[in-house]
Amino acid sequence: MEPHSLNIESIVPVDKKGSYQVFLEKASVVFDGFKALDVDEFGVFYNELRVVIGPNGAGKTTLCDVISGRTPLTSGHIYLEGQDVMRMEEVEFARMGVGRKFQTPTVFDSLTVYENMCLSLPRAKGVFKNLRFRETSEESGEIDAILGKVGLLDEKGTEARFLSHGQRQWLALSMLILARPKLLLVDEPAAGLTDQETERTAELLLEMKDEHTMIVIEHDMEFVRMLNSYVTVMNEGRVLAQGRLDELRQNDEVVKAYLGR
Amino acid sequence: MHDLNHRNSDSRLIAFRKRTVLGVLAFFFCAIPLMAWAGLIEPTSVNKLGRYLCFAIVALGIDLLWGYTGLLSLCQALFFCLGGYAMAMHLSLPEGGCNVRPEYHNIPQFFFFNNVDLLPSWWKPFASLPMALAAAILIPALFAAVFGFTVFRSRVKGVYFAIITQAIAWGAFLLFCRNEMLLGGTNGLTNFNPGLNRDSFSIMVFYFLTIGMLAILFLLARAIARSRLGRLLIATRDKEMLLPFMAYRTLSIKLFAFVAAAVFAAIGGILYVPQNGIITPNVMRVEDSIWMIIWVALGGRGRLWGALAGALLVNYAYSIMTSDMPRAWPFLEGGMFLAVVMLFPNGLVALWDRFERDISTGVPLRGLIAALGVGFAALVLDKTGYLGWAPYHLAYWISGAIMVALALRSPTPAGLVTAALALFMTAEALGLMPKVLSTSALGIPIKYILLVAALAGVTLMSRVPSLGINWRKYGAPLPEH
Repeated sequence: MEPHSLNIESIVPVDKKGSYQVFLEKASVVFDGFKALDVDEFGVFYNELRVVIGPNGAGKTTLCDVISGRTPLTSGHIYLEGQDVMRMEEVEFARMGVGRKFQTPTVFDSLTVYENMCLSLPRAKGVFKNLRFRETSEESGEIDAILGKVGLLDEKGTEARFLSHGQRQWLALSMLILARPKLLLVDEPAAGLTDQETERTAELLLEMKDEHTMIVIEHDMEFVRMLNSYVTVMNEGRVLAQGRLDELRQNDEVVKAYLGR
Repeated sequence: MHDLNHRNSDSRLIAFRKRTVLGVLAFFFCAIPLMAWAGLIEPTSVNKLGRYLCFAIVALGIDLLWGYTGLLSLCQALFFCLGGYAMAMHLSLPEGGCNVRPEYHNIPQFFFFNNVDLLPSWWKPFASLPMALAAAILIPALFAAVFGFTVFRSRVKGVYFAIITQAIAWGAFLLFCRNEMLLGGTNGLTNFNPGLNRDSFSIMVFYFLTIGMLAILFLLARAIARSRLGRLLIATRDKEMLLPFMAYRTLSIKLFAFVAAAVFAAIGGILYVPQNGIITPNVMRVEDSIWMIIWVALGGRGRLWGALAGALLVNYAYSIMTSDMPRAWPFLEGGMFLAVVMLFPNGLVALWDRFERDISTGVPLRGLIAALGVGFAALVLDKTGYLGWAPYHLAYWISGAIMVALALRSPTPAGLVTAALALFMTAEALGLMPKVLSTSALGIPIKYILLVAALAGVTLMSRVPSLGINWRKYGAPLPEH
């Protein structure tokens, strides 16, 4: 780990940044005077599965945007594995092992399922390397294995635009798994899925839990219960409370935020 | 693009494709040179084909840039001209075969009229052909790289990108029109060795250079399109915002496509200039770049050979129709556009795709191929004058009737339309159209009446099964995969 700069203003215990996979400190994002995010401290440990919930406009997606480098912080600091990554671009975040699944299933419509997966392989990201790129048999085997898990193996040669909504969600998720990120940001994986599909998605996420750090943003309480993990509640850009789901249910502030009173 | 999972029909289709490719190659590399050698087609026709093949090279680049990557650039004609001007500079100098005169200080004439007595120093490197060629490729490539980098880095996208490229094209046009540029101003560069595009040997040499280059660049473009880089280009078109999160730099992907398209355009320009004999700033106007986009749009974007065919087709349509009915051209152009947009929104490749679908459902093709053979033989025989002495009207109607009878044995409407268009365009392009068919009836040349009648007839028959042939038998939709 790199030694930290001697910036007196940011007196933070060194191990605090270091012991988290991702750590936000006094982080705020302001859009035209509107504070979309105002987090004092938010950290996720290595190989933790963290669920972030909160009412609409609570800043959950902004949090995701910040951690994946899409939106720069207006003030404060963000550390990935203890390294200050304030000035980095999205690509550099991705190269540091941050992977992201968007709220709407984002895949490449005119490419087949297999081609979509192939682009997600964590190798050869430069232009000319791609000119000579051929996937190895292990890689294509891995793609098949993942597609098999989500039941997309039969659709391998189908262009993504012909897939159903649920299949697209799973393709997006499969692409994320294949990319082997150290930190996964999963934004509303259960949105628009049937109960059965939701259950399967939860199983998938739990399967990956041991090898990856994961931040899952979700609305669906049933789904959150299935994941059974530590939960951060956000409201109006701030972290309102953290804890187990059943603890949070007893928390007056959380109840108030959700019921709007 | 169609997923044809019929094993038997697949192998039939592949065999057909192979034969078509071989046929096209044989036509361009053997038949045309042979016919030119035998005097059946005029050197001017070969020269025109050579020039249009240069446009096809440009279209390949545009397809990579617009069809695959989704970037609509309206300054491709500028890159074409940058390559062309560099070549023209070489050809304007004595080392390039230009006949300079002592009364003009032994340098290109236009300098004299601009009161320049000495060749400017930056013109000197162009005396050497390798230097000129290197400049012709490196200057547009470098320009595209620098311009592309600035534009893409500022995240200019979509229609704004098109507008900026348009502005660049317009600015460059104004610049090249100035005499101070010492590039001939609005008159451009000309007075090259007139033999370059007049004597049949040079014409043949340049024709072979162009078609050879086109073949090489087509294979190159295809290799790019089929690699993972090609998929990245498509991915950029589909959902650019996702790529950075997968650790791909979209800036470099777009830059690659932009520079590649610029180089393709420049190579087209290099080969075009000697065959055309002149280059002026008029060729780099925005309209010309839009015209280039039209080739690809009509041919079929996102399909390399579609872009290539589109370039040839649109240019020949323009050339034929403006010479036959100059005043009707704007209407014909509009009509052509409407027809393609309404019938084939994905371009004319869709017509071919339908034909291939028919083939994979087992339509017999012998009749169609025989009809094409008879048609082509009749054209050649007519040109040799063989039919000239006979009561030739009768001969035409007889060969026409044989063609129709043969063609009807292949019940594939898309195939018949393709064949009719191909035969018509080939006859016109190679100057093989019989004179009698060019005479007018009711003010319209007979050949157009025949073409429209053929297209209308095929359309009608494919809609009305009771007209004698069971078209439906083969037109069944393919089973879902």
